[in-house]
Amino acid sequence: MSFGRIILGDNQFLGINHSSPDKALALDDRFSRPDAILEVIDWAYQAGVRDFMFTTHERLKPVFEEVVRSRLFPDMQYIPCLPYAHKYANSMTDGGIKAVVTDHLGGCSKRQLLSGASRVVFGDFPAVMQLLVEIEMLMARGLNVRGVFLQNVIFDLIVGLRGTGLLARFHRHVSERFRAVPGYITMNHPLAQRVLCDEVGIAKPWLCANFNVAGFRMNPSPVAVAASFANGRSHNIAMSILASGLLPPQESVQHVRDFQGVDCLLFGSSRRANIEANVALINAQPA
Amino acid sequence: MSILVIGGGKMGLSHMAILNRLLDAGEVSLCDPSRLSRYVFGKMGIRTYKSLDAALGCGTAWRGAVVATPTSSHFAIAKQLLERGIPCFIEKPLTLDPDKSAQLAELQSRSGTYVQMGLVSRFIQPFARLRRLARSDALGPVQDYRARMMGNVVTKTDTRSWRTNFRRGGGCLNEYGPHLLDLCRSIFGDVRSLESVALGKVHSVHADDRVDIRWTHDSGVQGHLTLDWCDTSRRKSTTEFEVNFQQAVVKANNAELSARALVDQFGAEAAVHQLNAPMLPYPVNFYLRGEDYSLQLEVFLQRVLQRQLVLADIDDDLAAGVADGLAVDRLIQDVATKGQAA
Repeated sequence: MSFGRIILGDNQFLGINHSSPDKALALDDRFSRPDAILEVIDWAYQAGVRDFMFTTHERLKPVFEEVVRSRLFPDMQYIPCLPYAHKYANSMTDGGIKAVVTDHLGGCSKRQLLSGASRVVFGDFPAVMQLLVEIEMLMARGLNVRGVFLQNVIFDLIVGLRGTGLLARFHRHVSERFRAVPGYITMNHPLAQRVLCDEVGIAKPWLCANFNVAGFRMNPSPVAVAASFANGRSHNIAMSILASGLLPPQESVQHVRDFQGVDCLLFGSSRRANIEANVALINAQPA
Repeated sequence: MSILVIGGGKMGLSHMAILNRLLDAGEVSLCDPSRLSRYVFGKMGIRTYKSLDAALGCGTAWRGAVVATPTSSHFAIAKQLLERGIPCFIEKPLTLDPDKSAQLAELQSRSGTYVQMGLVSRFIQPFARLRRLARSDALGPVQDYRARMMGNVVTKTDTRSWRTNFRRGGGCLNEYGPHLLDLCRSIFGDVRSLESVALGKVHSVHADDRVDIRWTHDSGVQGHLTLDWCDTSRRKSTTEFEVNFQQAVVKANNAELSARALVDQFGAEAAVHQLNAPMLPYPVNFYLRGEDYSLQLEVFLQRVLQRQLVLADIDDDLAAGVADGLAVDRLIQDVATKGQAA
């Protein structure tokens, strides 16, 4: 097992709520302060959560800096999921290519940056993944990184374009340079598993996908996703386990917890009582 | 069974990735004048062409084409495709000139070639449900409605970008207008009269940032629409409807639909109860950036390839055609003219 059974996600910190724009707006407002995010991390840590899967969103930068500086969470395992593409788009809009370079590349290892860039220029296109990881991992400096995941927006895009060479390079670079577990977030679990196992040739890749009793965003169908979770070809992190509140939490958590193909459960919450209740439910033995 | 994507920008990339997984490897090709674009897509094993002439002259029998180029080029490209009888999926808006849009509509009508507009908001589930509701008798006829589309696209003054220049296809009316104006037409029917228009500026110098419209549909239903792309309280664009039916008030946004009964009748209460039950998003074969983006292309492919692809329970006439694209272009022109005269 590479990750703890329970992983805290960060959707709530970024103002994301799939069922209500109003709730999303309220969350976005509340977590605009780093202290509010640190408070929730602390509640989860106190409840026994050690694994935290957060994006590389700029909002989290001061949070990570404080985590490193304060050493408040010594056993914290960080699992970055990247890239948070909007920050590049924002820099591009504000100041063009120059702003992208100065805002995001300044702290990169010059050797790695040069090596990646020259490979791309000389025709080794998959080296763009190497560059991406180098740039994105800047935010993880000083943190104990256990795994590095590709966000579904980029992973599913590459799967769509059939860019298997890019996935192979990401896998290799994360494993070799960062000695971390590469993983993939997807909205198409059965397809992602086929691509990674059969086309890229990865044995038992780590996948993170929606898995919930309601069948919320389980594509192409809840039955197909349940089958690919259960077939043993991948390690699986279940996310959206509460299906954005479509069903009562207890029923939802128990369903996912007791499903054989689920290695870890990822959830996001902004309330202490909910975090503690979910942790207790996941840790409890099936009846 | 080849599909050609024309334009490898943001929308072309997204369409390409979805189509490339809905079909087998090698069945989707790209046409883009940019060498960099062709290099990147070529590295993924995708066949590329530097011009439409090259793609059309290569001997491939194209079963369909996706037009995802800047709007100013839509007319010339769509005309060439329609003259050859190639079914098209055209990104919104159809053109920047309703006369040219009318020519395309005429060409399509003569040839009978299938044309689908990329008016993607129709495929957002709460709006598709609202459309079905407005066309049924479940809650009685619609009286009137309020529709808003808000977002924080423009947050500072920029006089150089096309985005803030109305004549170049920029401005809130050109950008947000097609989505909301088309949704209102799709749900409540054709527009009979435009009562009032107010155009407002916040940051843009050469375009509108806020638009307020009051109009009446052929059915007599009155609508009040607001577009605002300078709303800094929004993380991303959201569309909201509040519709007064005879027996209930129905609210719909990008994520949810809810209803409140106005009359103490068993029928209305039962319908409202059913509407308020949680709904799962539409299932799709391949999810990239929202069910709506995948679903619209599933509908297009299903139609042009005559192959069952769509998993979702949607109405057969949900997709927008070239006549809808033309109607939206005309409405935008009417709104702009009335707003500038006010």
